[in-house]
Amino acid sequence: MKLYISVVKFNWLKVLAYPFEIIAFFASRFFALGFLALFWYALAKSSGGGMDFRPLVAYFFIAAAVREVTYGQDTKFGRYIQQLVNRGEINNYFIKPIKTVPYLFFSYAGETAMGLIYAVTTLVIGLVILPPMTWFNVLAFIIFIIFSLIISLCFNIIVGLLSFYSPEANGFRNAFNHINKILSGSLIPINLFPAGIKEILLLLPFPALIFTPTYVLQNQLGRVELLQLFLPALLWSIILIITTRYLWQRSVKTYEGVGI
Amino acid sequence: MKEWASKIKLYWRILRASIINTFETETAYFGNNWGNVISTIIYVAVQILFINVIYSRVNTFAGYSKNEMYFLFLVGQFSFYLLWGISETNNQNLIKDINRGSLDFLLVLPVPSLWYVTFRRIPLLSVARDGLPNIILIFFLINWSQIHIGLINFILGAIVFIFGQIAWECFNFLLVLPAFWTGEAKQIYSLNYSLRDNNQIPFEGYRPFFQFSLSFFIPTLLLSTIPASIMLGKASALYLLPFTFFIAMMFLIIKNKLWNLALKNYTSAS
Repeated sequence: MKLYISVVKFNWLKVLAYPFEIIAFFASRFFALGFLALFWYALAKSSGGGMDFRPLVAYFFIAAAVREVTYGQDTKFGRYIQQLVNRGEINNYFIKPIKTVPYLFFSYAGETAMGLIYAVTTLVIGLVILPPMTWFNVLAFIIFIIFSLIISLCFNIIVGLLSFYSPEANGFRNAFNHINKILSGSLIPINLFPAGIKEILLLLPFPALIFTPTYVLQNQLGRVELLQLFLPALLWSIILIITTRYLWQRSVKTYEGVGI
Repeated sequence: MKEWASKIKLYWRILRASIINTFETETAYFGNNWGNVISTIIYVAVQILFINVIYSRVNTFAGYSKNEMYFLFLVGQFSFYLLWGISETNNQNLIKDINRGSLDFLLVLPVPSLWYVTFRRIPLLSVARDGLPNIILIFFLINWSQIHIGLINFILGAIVFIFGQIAWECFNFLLVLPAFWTGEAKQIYSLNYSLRDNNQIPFEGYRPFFQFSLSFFIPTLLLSTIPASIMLGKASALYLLPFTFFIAMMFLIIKNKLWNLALKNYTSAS
């Protein structure tokens, strides 16, 4: 673990070399959130009181935090792996006496550590706008964040693995990202979908990435509802861990590094 | 006159070489081409689903019916692919060149540098491959009998659209220039993604303060929301046409001036 902490620190220091980039990172994220808030404000106004603006904005602030902490959107960690494979730089990791995936993950986590500061900020804003009802909501949030991280990492690694088979796999990654954006609740909360569609969507792994952790923090939960959210998240976590492990081992065997 | 003709000839030769060179690179990865087609079709499907979910809750959004919203989406997609084809790859390459010092090699070439870095790569195949299916799909989705677009409004809106693309291209380019001073501008440049991602809100949905500042300082509303509004006859071109012309010219001048200033400050890698 000491090694991984050093990896995070080292990569974070590389980011600090460009302070204007850090400012731009925050500006970019807050502009995106601002436009989202403007959109839902305009929509709430158009609904003539049918939609409440406050919980919607709180939802998107908390969702932004979840997305950032778990890498639940845009599969950027997957892209990071793809780039290493395409440039042949992954050779450097394979020849080291380390576990490749955790090492890559902590390198990436160091490079994107400013996302954590942003996540804490948006989480606090979201909680101020709409505080959680009980401590149970906070506990459920923490548990679902862990599921979200597991599922997200598995998706990211699977997307990264595509580059072992095709040197340019951006198109497939983008296709996955578009599906993920709408089905995870990043673009629109799942509870705004018509009831039948919502129930089908909740059986998929995508809502566990962003919607479920955000939802359990903000809403009063009955036992049945909690189970409906918990079981798919648990099952998909197990399925994806096994699948990702298998695919990683299989893909690495096909890899032909330049110079090896 | 002869000097002008040879200048234009040179500019055209650079453009032609860029198009051919980019085409050869694009056709090298066949599998990824299919991935991109799938990706863009899924994107449109997601956006259509999004609009449908929204309109299951409201009848009109900022005065726009569902069909008018599709139209706004169509103009937004058209703008996206046009600008993506011209500036996206070139701006990202310019950041990399400054960061790695390879801009030196471009500056010593006997070509006008600003023109060259702006039009170095023109990915016509990618634009056609990704943009056309989307645009055709949305075009046929719109019930044209339910929206009213007059010829004059359409022409005026199209002119405003062109000015808007010029202004936004220049604005994007300005986001690259800090790399000359700081060495890196990836995150600064990524501001443009957040700033342009607003074509889901009609022009009429913004308060006057945002309508002005998001047109004048950050010309993001000129991309699709204002042209769509003019074409639909909702906003008046009488004031917006000269306004967008002024903004486009202003950003063109700023782009030229700051490019020269940036070059003077370029310390190069060697």
